[in-house]
Amino acid sequence: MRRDQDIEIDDDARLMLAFKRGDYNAFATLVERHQKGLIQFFYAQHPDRQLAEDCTQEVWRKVFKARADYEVRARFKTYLLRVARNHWIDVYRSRRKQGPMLSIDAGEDADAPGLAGSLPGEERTPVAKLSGRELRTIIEDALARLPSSQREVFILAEFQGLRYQDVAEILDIPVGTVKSRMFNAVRRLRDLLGKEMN
Amino acid sequence: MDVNETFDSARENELDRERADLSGLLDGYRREVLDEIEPSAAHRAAVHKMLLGLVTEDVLARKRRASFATLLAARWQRFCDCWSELAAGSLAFRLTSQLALALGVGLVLSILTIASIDQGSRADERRMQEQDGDLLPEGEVFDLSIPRRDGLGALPGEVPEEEAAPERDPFEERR
Repeated sequence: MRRDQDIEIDDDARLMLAFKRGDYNAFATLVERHQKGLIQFFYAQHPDRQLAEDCTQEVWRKVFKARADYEVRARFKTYLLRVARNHWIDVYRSRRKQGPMLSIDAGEDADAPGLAGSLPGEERTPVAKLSGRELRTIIEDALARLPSSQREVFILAEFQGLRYQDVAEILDIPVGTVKSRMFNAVRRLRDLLGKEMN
Repeated sequence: MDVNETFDSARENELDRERADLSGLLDGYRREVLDEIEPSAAHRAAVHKMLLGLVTEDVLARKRRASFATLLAARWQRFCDCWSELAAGSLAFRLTSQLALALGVGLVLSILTIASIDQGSRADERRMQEQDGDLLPEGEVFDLSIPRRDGLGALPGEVPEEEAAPERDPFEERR
C-alpha cells in the first residue's frame, strides 16, 4: 500500500475530501463526472443497462455513506472502481443464488448500424459483414465466457483505460498477476472472436 | 489460484501485440456501445432523489447530533448547579448538625448538673433532720404494729376469742 504523502492528490480526491468536510456540491460534481464511467463498468461486466444503472446508484450510496472513512490512498477513480468492483461481487453472488444471469441486453440501440462498418481497417475482414447487433452480441458473448478474474482485469485495463498498477490496486493483487490475467484474457478473447468471425 | 506471477518483457511485448490486434474490434465496441451509454433520465432522476434523501438524512442527523450536544451541555450545566447547591446545602447541614449537637450536649450537661445539685441538697436536708432528731437514724425502722397477744387484752370493742366460741365436750355430744 502506498503512503499518503506518495500520492498526488488529484482533483477528484480533493472534491471527495471537500465532501467529507460537508460540501455536498463537491459530491454532486463527482457523481456527474464519474456516473457514465461506472455505468460502462457494470455494463461491460454484464450487458444489462438497468442493472448497470442500479449498481451505479448503489455505489454512489456506498461512497456517500463511507465518506467519513475516506483517505487519499490512491487516485479517486481507483477508489471508486474498487467500491464498484466489490459491489459487483455482491451482486454477482446474490444473482447466482437466484439463478443464471441474463447474458445479453437487448438495448434500444442494438440495431444501430455502423459498429462493424465503422471499424477502421476492417472493411476487408468478415467483421465488416456483420451487423452492429451481431458484432455486439459476439463480443459480449466472448466477454461473458471469460473467467470472471480475467474479465474484470480486461474490463478495467481495456475499457476503463487503467494502468496495470491501478488495476492491481483495485483488485488487491500483484501487478504481475494482473498482466498474466490480461494476457490470458486477450488470448482467449482472440480465440473466441476468431471462431465466431470465421 | 493466482500467485504473484512474474511477467517478463518478452511476454509483455506479446501482450501488447495481442491487445493491438484486438484493438480494432474492441475500439469499435467501446465507441459504438460503451461510449454511447448515457445515464438515462430515469437514472439521473433516481440518483438525484437518492442524493436528496441522503443529504436530508445527513442534515437531520447533524442537527440531531447538535441538539443532543446542546442537551448534553444543558444537562451537564444543571448537574453542576445541582452539585454546587448540594455542596452548599451540605455545608449548611454540617453547620446545623454541629449546632444541634452542641445544644444537645449542653442540654444533657445541664440536666445532669441540676440533678446532682438536687440530690446534694436533699442529702443535706436529711442530714440536718437526723441531727435534729426528727428522723430515726439510718437503718432503724419504727415499729408501728399493734400488739395483740402481748397481754394487753382485746382492743376496745373486740370480743375475746375464748368467749366468742366455747369449746364443746365431745362426750356430751355422744350422749
